[in-house]
Formats: sequence, structure tokens, C-alpha cells
Amino acid sequence: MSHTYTSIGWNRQKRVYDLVMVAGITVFLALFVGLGSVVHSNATIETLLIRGFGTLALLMLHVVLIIGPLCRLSPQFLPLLYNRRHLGVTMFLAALAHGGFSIFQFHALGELNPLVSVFVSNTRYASLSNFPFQPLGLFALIILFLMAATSHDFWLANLAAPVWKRLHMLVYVAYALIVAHVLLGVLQAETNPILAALLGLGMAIVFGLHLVAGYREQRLDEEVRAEAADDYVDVCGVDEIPEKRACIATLAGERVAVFKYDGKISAISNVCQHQNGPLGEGQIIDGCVTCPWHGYQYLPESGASPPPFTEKVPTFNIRVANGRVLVDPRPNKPGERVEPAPVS
Amino acid sequence: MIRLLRVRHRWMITLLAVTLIALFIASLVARKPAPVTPHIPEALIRVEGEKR
Repeated sequence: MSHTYTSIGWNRQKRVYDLVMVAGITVFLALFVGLGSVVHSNATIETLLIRGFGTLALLMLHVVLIIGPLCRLSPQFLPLLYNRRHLGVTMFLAALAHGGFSIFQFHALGELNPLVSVFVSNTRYASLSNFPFQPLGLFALIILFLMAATSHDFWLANLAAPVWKRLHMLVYVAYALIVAHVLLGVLQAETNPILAALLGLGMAIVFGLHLVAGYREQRLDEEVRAEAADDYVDVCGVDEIPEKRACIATLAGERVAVFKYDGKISAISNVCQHQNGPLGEGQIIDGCVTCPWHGYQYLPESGASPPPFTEKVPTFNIRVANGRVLVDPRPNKPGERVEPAPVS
Repeated sequence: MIRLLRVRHRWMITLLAVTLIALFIASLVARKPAPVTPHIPEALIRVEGEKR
């Protein structure tokens, strides 16, 4: 959470994250080029680097894509989410190295402009086995560039969250283009079944985790709750909420996080203003509801971030009766203070 | 609003999974057979220095 913008708000966790990432990339590339030069003794260093960076980018894209659903399934993976942007930008750089080397090696030595050559050197669009796979990779690279260039809170704030979110959902389009690029490119020439099996396994993990996490979210959305006479909805028992934590309920189609802290109960929207993180899966730290994704904070009774920050989420009217928590499903304005309900 | 996004996201992932699995199978089926070393009849192989 930041009030002014810096290029990167470094802290110890981000440094450790990036060090582990750089070490992993170095080891991967060294192993790939080293083993590749032994197994394919005829391959040039340029070819090994093109394939090494391409494989690295594909592997990193799979990791980037599974972090989200893993965190929905278990909070143990939240440390991976914290600095996912750096992983995404580094993945783009690996893809750029792959694309740059490829364009130079295969398209830069003729008379045509290399970028034009990518599109006109093969026009067999009707053939699956000879399909021009390189433009697919180039389109994916353009999407990854747009995402990497806007992976900063400055752009999140200036594009506004809905536009930024839509732009970054294009990662799935980029994934589809890259999988097609690999299937119609290298996997047409390299017939070793292990390569196809590895790609299939990667796809199965990405889609399997997304669908399992999505199914769990759907069940939560569809829970039916009993309404009291005055439209207040019975959400849970007071005893069911751990201290300084929340229970999450879906009311009128939207999720509400009901927090218990210091003998009081408050309800705010479950959706963080930063990147739609699940506030109800966070906890109260220093008197503030703290988003588990990136640490954005809100006061539980008003839904407003403490000064000088300006983020606000809607609050909900609440009361406790017979040990049960009852919530009015109609949200108040973002930042509107609601008197917390005493536990007893 | 957020719920709608979640529903849309689920549908998008399902559609993408079906499309890519179909492409995966089709691309492997359409793959050209692996190149093999051509069998050349011995009679056609000329040893260097040997007269025809």
C-alpha cells in the first residue's frame, strides 16, 4: 500500500523473492544450455539460448498462472502471490529474449524487415502441421509487454481497477497463443513424446487448479441463508469467528466479511480496492483489516484506509442476537462508519 | 459485480481449456511422422574410389 509512487517499494521479502527467482533462472538456463550442448552436439549456442529462454518463459507463465488458484485453495501459497508482478515481468523478459533471438536468427538476415518477415515468410494458414506459428508468439509477446509495462500501482490507479483488471486478464489469451505457438511450432518438429506430455501436464495443472478453485468459489456464492423479519440475514454464530479474523458470507450476490475483534463485530465488503483481494481471508493487524494479498488496510468500522491512504470499501449494518450475527445485505457507502455490534 | 466477474472468469477458463485441449489433440494427430534414415539399397551405394 503506497501513498506516493516509487519504481519498486523494496522490502526484505521482495529482495528474498527476487533473489530466489534469479538464482532459479540462472540454474535453469545453465542446465538447459549445458545439457543441451551434450545431447544435441550439433546445436549452436544461439539455438540453445532461443530454446532455453522459450522454455523458461513457458515454465514461468505456468507458475504465474497457478499462483492465483493455489492461493484460493490454501493460504500457505500467499507468499508467492505477494510479489507475483516481479515474476510476471521477468517472464516477459525471458519471452522477449526468446523472441528477439529468434527474429534475429531467422528473419534479420534477409532483405525484408524482420517483423514483416515473421508474417510473410510462411503463409500456410490452412495447414495444421505447417501452420505459421511465429506470429502467434509475436502476438503473445505484445500482450505480455502491455501487461509488464502496466504492472505497477501507478497504472492500477490511473487506468482504474476495472480497466487494469481487464487488461491483465489478457494473460489467458497470451497463454492460449503461446500454447498454440508451441504445439504448432516446436512440437511439430520435435517428436519426442515427453515434450508433448510435459506441455499436456502443464495445461492439466493450470486448468485443473482453476476449475477446482472456481467450483469452490461457486459453492460459496450459492449458499442460501435464512432471512430475519427485517431483511437482516443470519450469517454465522459469534463463536464461529476466530478473534481478529472473519467469516465470509454471500449476501445479495456480493461477499461480506464479518470481523470479530476486541469484543466487537463489524462487517465490510470482502473485496479489496487494490486488486479485488479477499479481505475476509486476512486478519486484523494494528486495528486494521489487512488484505492477505498485498497488505492494503481498512478500519473495520468504517471500511476506510487509515490516513494518508484514501481507499474505501462499503460497510454493512450489523447486530448480534442470541449468539448469532445478523447482517443487513444492503451495503452502505464506501467509508461510511457503522457502530460495531458488541459481542454480548 | 464481483460475482459476475467470477462467473465470467469460470466460463472463460472452461472455454479456453476445451479449445486448447482440442488444439492439443488435433496438432499431435496432424503431426508429420518422425523423419527416419532412408533405406538406400546397397547396390546404389558407391564407395569412394570404386569404379562403376
